[in-house]
Order: sequence, then structure tokens, then C-alpha cells
Amino acid sequence: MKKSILIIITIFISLNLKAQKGEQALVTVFYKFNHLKDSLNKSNMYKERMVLWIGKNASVYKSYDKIVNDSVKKTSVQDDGKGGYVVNTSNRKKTIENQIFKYPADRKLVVFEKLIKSYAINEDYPNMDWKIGSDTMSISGIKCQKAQTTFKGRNYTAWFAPDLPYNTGPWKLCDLPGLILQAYDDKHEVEFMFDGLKPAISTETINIPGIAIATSPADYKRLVELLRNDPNAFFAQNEVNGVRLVPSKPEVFKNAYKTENNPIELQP
Amino acid sequence: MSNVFSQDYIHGKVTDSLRNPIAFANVALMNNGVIMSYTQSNKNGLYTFKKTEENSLRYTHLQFTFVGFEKITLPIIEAQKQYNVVLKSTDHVLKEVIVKSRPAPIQKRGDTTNFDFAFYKAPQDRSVEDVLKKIPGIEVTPAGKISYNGKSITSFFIDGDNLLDDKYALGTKTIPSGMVDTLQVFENHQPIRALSKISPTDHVSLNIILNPKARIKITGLANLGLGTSEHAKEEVNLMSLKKGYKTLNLLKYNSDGYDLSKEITAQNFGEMNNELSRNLNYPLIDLNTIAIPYLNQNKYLFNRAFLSTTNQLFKLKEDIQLKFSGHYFKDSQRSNFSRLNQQIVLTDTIRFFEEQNQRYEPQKLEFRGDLTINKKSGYFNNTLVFKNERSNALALVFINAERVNQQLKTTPYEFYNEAKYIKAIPNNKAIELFSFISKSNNNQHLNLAPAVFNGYVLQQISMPQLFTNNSLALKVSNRNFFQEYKLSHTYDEKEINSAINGNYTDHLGNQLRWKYHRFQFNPSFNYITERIRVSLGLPLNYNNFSYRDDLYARNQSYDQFVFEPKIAVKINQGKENKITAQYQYKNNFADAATQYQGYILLNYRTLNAYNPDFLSQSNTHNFSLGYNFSKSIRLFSINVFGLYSIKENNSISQISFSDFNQTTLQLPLINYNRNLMFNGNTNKYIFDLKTTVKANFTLQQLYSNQVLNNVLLPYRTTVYTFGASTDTKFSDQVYLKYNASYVPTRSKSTAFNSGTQETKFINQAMELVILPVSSVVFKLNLEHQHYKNTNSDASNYLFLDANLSWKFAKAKQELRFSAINLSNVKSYRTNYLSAYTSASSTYQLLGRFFQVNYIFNF
Repeated sequence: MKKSILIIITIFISLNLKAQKGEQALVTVFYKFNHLKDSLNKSNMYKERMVLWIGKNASVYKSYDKIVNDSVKKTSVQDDGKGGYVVNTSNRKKTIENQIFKYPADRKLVVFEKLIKSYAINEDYPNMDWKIGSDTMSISGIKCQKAQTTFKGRNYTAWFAPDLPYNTGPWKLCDLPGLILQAYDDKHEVEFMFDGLKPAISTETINIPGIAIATSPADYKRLVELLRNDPNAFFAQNEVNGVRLVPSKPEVFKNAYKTENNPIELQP
Repeated sequence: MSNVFSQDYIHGKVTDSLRNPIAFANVALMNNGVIMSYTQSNKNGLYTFKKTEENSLRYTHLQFTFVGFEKITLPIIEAQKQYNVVLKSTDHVLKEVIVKSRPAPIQKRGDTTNFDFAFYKAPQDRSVEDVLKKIPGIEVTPAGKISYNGKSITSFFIDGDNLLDDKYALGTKTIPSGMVDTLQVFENHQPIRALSKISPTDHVSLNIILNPKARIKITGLANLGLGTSEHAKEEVNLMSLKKGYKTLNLLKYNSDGYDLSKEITAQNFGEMNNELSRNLNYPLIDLNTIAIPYLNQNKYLFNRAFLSTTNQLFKLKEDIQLKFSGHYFKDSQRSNFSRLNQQIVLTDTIRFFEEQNQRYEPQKLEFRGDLTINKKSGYFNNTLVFKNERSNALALVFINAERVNQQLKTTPYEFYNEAKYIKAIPNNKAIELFSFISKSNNNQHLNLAPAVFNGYVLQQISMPQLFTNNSLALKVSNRNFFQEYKLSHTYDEKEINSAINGNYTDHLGNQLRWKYHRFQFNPSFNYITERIRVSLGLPLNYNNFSYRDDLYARNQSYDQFVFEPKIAVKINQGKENKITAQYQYKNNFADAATQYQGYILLNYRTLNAYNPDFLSQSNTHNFSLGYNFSKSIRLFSINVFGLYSIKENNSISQISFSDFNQTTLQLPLINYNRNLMFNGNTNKYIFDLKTTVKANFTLQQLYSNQVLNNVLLPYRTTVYTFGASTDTKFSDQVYLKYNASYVPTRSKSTAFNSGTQETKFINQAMELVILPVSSVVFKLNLEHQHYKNTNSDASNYLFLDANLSWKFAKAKQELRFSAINLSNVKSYRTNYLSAYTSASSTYQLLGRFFQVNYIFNF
């Protein structure tokens, strides 16, 4: 009995250690993300530049605009007189806050979200049943092949590069025998368009921030719903002195507050 | 044709050149360079394709790819079903064309938290302060002082500029919330650029980022208000917050019980003086007015206040700033109260009843100028301040039905200059030079008619003071380890010149000349990682006191070395929990205000003097321990905090009562005060009830000693606080808040078998907000208070306020109707208990009034 407890603890500790170890990215892939958030307003496409860092066993997909924004803010925030701070706000843009971590070997998908504090939401690894087509296309000189599937209520067409043997892609898309360079749904309401590729630099590591609190999608959804319905109650939980807030951007609440009529995920 | 074979069509094993299996390698069946079907190798490097009828013939090649290895393509041979391959590793991780690459400095934003202002702003919020109150972690006291996670903020920046210094309440109470885009909270903030990376701080600062429209135009507001019983409110303000020039100006008048002086309060005044180790030049005379009641000011403050202020900031260059500010405040406050005092001494109880009608007329004038140069290579700041006050208090006292007129005039002034120079030197070092010099005086003049004590009708005091603090510090940083070595000299020179009835002799006068030197060497160390923060301070002081009073032919001098260590530890446990612990040893010495020998009349019934034969001092050991537990995903948190301090005093107050008169002297007698405090609070959101529930508990125990009429009496005072509150949002239109607290206070002398004195206080408050449409806000506040004391009857009060506001013309204009104290409570009684004093006070209240305000924004 004692021994089994010890084993469980050991496993627990080793799992913990594993989760915290970052992985050096090998490749950085840029995407242009287009999303028709409001299906009644077809002319207004939401656009954002995204980036996918790919390592040997893991990848993370996040907003490139956010990275640029943050670095711009960081530098321009330290620029002035006694106060020391002039903040350049002209370039500010609302950005996508979440990050999607995929660990294909462990069939693990973690969505990192910020809701005052940081959360690591363990989702089911997408079970994608791709139909491989015979069409090929060259995207920026990289040979790609077509594949199609239905995922979360949308029919996606993806173009993957067999010569880039990474089984990942933008957003939650994955599981093809090559990197997905382009993907879009049949109505072109959600698009991930290839926008460049380069070897990763040493600061680009794939690492779920250690501060993130592990949770399930259901529990996280409950928090977001509370935030939508009763933000004051939500924030009241952080009013107690001494509870340290994790630095975050509150735009995410606003996004959570607004309901989109045409989300990426039409079905769970 | 091919289905004569087993279910497995093509299978095999993928290994590297060392024969180690490769897991998750991509294996694809190809036809003319196009993938037709694919799979991945398993943990043992094995792969298998299930046969599919239609396609089987069309496969021409088998392709193996894996990250970090060269691609292998093999032709499929009809008869061969097993293909084992060895992949060759390659350094060319990415031989592919690099299509585009963008330079992007990637940096994490460590201690900055951004809050989107619009998100927190509700229709009824007018000023920045209204919104700040809702931001998680931020607390704003009624006086306007802001703290973040329990820590007072040091600076409030407007678009990065510190326009208002610590008079930031002017800004937070004046700037409209609509002008602000984002609030930034900087933790561990180091505004001095030369010190960023060299000297960590634990300071918290706020910065509001204005929206671009607000930056270019001149904005302002006019408020016209009319009320019944002359309770009016008027305001005009004008501001311009451009990049190179910022200004904020306002004129305010009100007579509805709102204290305007809190808008120009220097919020960090206490902290600044602690850092300077400075004893302030406070007046000695104290009219012994009553403690403020536990009520909103608009219930009890009879006032006519006027405030005018101007604040200007010029940016001469990107890193050079010049600032000027000026403030003028004038008020006329009226109060009527009565008090039944009981001093419980052994078996005796000394009782007296006093009534006071008071008129208090303060006037304050202050000017300030600042020059700041903040460069990476160095920093310079000079601040020059001039303050002048003039206040006049008239109090008519009825003491046990006898009538005494007290008139107190005080005319303090202060003039100070503060300069700081910091030079960054290579290898993460910096040198800091600091100088503070202050000249002040505090003249006081008390007139009594008729005399109460031995015909004493006039007390005059003059207290000129010169105070300086100069220091030199070396700061060194090395990764996570930060050191500072500081040498400082503090000098305090103060006089107390006093006379009663113009008479210096017979122990009625003072000509005290007080001089204090302190030389300090203060090494301090900080070790900071993500998980732990340890701070250690080891200041060693040499103190020299000398004082002289020619009236008493006294000339004395003392020397003393003191070591005052301080250690603080903070440990982050897991992702959400935190432990903090602190120990501090502190030595406090007398200053001139507690070392004078001749009697001073503090008010009509108190005479005070100190024993100059010894230097009164105390030392304190402080221990504290705290734990914060939080489970965000369950919206649940618990915090506990405990504090214990023990203070050793070398002197004790000897208080002699006769009737209502009180004479205080200091006796040399070592005695201890102990203070124990425990606080716990918890916070939970209940989904089913759409409600936040909070609960808190505090226990405070104080042990103190007093010599009353020649008997040493130890007292124990125990205060419990039990509190609970709920906050419910029924819908977007209806909100309800409720809170209740129960505070029993007990005081008992532990030396003999006397009865325990007890007061009980129960408070309940409810707030209902209804927004029938978004431009209309209706608010109702209901409060019930209950007091009960061992020796008096219970008292109960019910207060009711209502507010209705309506915004129109694109929210540029607003009409607001208020009804204050609808139940028209005109008299209010509270009980006070501490050690041997029990008092029951009755206040006259403003009573019911109505007000209409028209607000115009431009």
C-alpha cells in the first residue's frame, strides 16, 4: 500500500516536471488568420497575424500581432521623464489572447487562456479523419497536397506539405503527414493562410507558462459564463488583499463578453 | 487480385542508424508523388497499413519522413509486404526556402498588468475613482488613498507623467472615466531609469492611458447644484492632458457635508516621513474634540468648503520635466456634540458630562515646484515646497453645566527642499545622493474664558524646527541578488517655547532646545526569484540627543547605539498560494514633543508635562505571518494573517484625575504593551445563487498599562469583528448588496477583580441599484446601526438615502436628484471603549435634505 502511494507520488512528480519543461522550437510558421465573426456583416472580416512554433514533440499556435504589440509596448513604455513612462498607444490592436499547445505523441491539446489569472485547459486531442485528395499546389514554392475533413461543425480543406514532416498546423488542426500551410472552411468564413516560414530562434520555446492553473473545458466555460453574466461577482473573488493577480490583458474579457454569432467552433 | 494475402497489407519498422526505433514517423503510400494514404509508426517503430480494395493497386511508392531525418522513398514491390527502413539524421532541420522573415523582438511583460477601462465602467461611473474601485485588487479609501493588493500606490501617472505627485486624489476624483482607455498597474516599479535593473523596489504605481481624443482637446466640467437647507454643491474644472504639457485646474464649493480637503491630501505623507525618520512638527494643543462617527460625512459634517487648485507640467525635453502646483483650501465647519465620559479607576468611576459647540475654520495654502531629469545615465530631481496654514477653532464647552469658551489659533508653516541625484556606473552599480532640508514653525495660541485650572486662561507655544536628512548610497545588482549600502545623517533641531498666562516660572513655561543627531549605516540585501523573495535590512545607528532648558538649568545629553534588523520572506507556493513572514525590531525615541518639563495646557481640562530626567524610549519586536490560499477555478479564496508585537517602554504615563481635570506626567518604569491580531477572510462565488459571499473574522487583543491616581493598572482590551456580505446581480437591471458586521469590544483590568466593560455594535447595510434604461440609474441605500454598552441603553438608527440620475444629450449632460437621510435622523449616539475610558457621545446630524445637480461636460 505504502509502496503504491509512493509510486503514485513519484509518477505525479515526474508528470509535473515533464509538464513544466519547455521545448525549443525548430520552425516558426506565420499565418494570416481571417474570420467572419459576424455572418450578417460579410464585408467585415476579422484579420490577425498568427504564428506557429513547432518543436520536435510539441507546437504552439498564438497571435503574432500580440507578440509584436507587447514588445512595442514594452519598449515604448520606458521612455520618459520622472514618471519614466510614455506609452505609445497608436499601434494598439485587440489581439487573440489564447495559445494552443499540441503534443501529438501524448495526444494532448492544451488551450492556454487568460482570465485575470492564467488557465491551462486540457481538451481532447482532435480526432481528425482526413480524406486525402490527389490535388497538389505549390504554396510559396513548397509543394502541398490537399486533404479534407469536418471538424467542430465546419468542412475544412487543408493544404499540407509532405516535405515538412510536422504533424501539426494552425489552430487545432493537425494529424496530417506534413505541416498544414493553408486551411479554410467551405464558406471561407474561417481561413488560415500561409504567410512565411523561418527557422526558430533560441528565445522561441514551447512552454505552457508555469503560472497556468490546470482545468477542464467545462470548469473554464463556467468561469467565462459567470464573467459574461456577472462580472462583478467574478472580480469580487480577486478583491481579497494579498491575492496576487497574474498580469494579463483584459481585452480577453471583452471578447468573452461579446458573443459572436459565427464562432470558429460551431459544434463542440 | 491481391486479397489472397493477410489483412495487413504493408508493414514494417522504422529505426535510426543505431537501430533504435523511431516513434511517430510519418509513413505514406504514394502514387506518382501524391500521398494516397498515411500512418505513423508506434512506440516500437512499427507501422501497418490496412489493405483497402480500390486503392491497393495504385500505390507506387512508400515514403518515410520524420523531423530531423532525411526523407526516404522506396518503390513498392508487388510481392513485398514488409519494409523496414533506417532513417539518416540530418543537421538541416529546415532546408526549405525561407519565404519571409520578420524581425520581432520578443519580450515578456513582467510586472505590468493592463486593465481595459471601458470594460469596468458602468453607466453611473463619473470619475476615474469610481471605476478604480471596481478593478480587481484595487481598493480606494473614503479619503481617496489607493492600494493594490493591500499595498499603497506610490505614484499615479497620467499618460506616463506624474502630474499630481501624491495629491493624486485630485486626478482620480476629477478626470472623467470616459477619457481613459487603459489602466496599467506596475508592480515592483522603478521609475528611475538609471536604476532599472540595479535596484528592485516593491512599489506599485498606476498609469492611466488616455484615449487619443482626450489627449488633444481641452476638457472640463461644470456642476450646478441646489439643495434644501443650503446644502449646495458647485464645481468647475478645466484640464488639458497633452503629451508635452499637462494641466489640471479646479474650483469647488460645497456645503453638503463633503470634505474637500481630502482632495489635496498628500496620500503618501506618512510613508515619506517614515523613510526620513522625521518627527513632525504637530501642534501640542488638542481641543479634545470627539472622534468622528461611523457614518458617511454627508450625515454629520456641517461645512462650507472652498477649494481651488492648479497643476502644471511642462516637458522641456523628452527626459526633462518641470512642474508647478498651487492649492488653496478654506472651510468653515460647525459641529455640536455631547459626551458622557467615564474613567474607571479601581472601584471608583469618574464621570463627567460635556457638551461642545464648535466652529472650526481652517485655511491652507501650498505651492510646489519640481524639476526632474530622468536619463539612463543619471537622474536628478529637486522639489521645493512651501506650506502655510492658518486655522481658528472656537469651542463653547458646557462641562457638568459650567460654561467654558475655548479659542485656539494655530499658524504652522513649512518650507522644504528635497534633492536626489543618481548616477549609474558600469557593472550594474549606481550611486545615490540625497538631501532633505526643512524649516518649519508651529505657533499655537489657546484662550480660555473662564479659567478652569488655577486661573490659567492663556497658553502660548512657538515651536521652530530645522530638520535635515542627507545620505549617500551605493547600489549593486548581480542577477537575482541586490545590495545597497547607505550612509546617512539625520539632524533634528527643535525648540519649544511656551508660557501660561505669559508666565514662564513655576513650571508653567518651557524654553526647550532639542538637538538630535543620527548617523546610520544601512546595508540591505534582496534576493529575488520567481519562487521566493528574501529581504534583509541591517541598519546600525548611532544616536545623540542633547537638550537644554535654561528655565530649569537643565542640560542633558545621551548617546546610544541601536541595531534594528528586519527580515521579510515571501514564498510562492504552487501557482496560486503564497506565504509571507516578517520580523522587525524597532527602537523609538522621544522627541522634543515628549520631553518638555514645564506644564502645557492641552485643552481646558488637561495639563501635561514630561519627566526630563531620563530619555523616554521604547523598543518593539514585530512578528507577522500570512497565508493566501486561492482556487480560482472554483472562485474561492481564503486569507489568514497573524501579527504579534511586544513593546517595551521605559516610561509610563501617570494620570491624575480630580473631577474632570486630568494631569499627566511621565514616570520612569519599564512596562510592556502587547498586541495580538488575527485576521481571516474568505470569498466564494455561488453559481446557483448568482451571488458572491464573503466572510471575515478579526480578533485583536491589546495589553496596556497605566498609572491612574498612583495605582499601576494593567488593562486588556479585546475586540472581535465578525462580518459577512453578499453581492448579487439578478439581471443587467437589478443589483443587490448586503453586508452585516458585529463588533463586541471588551475591556478589563487584569490586576483586580473588576467588572468587564463591554460595548456591542451591529451594523447592517443594503444597497439596491436599478437601471430601468441605460441612461437612468436609481440607487437606494439602507443602513441600520445598533449600539449597546454595559452602562447605557441600546440605541438604534435607520438611515435611508435615494439617488436618481439621468444622462442625456449623448451623456454630455446629466441631472441628478439626491435625497439624503430620508428618515430624518437628527441626533446620533455612539459608544467608545478603550482601557479605562468609556465614553458615550451624541452628535447633531444634518438631518434630511434634498439636492438637484445639473452637470455639463465640455
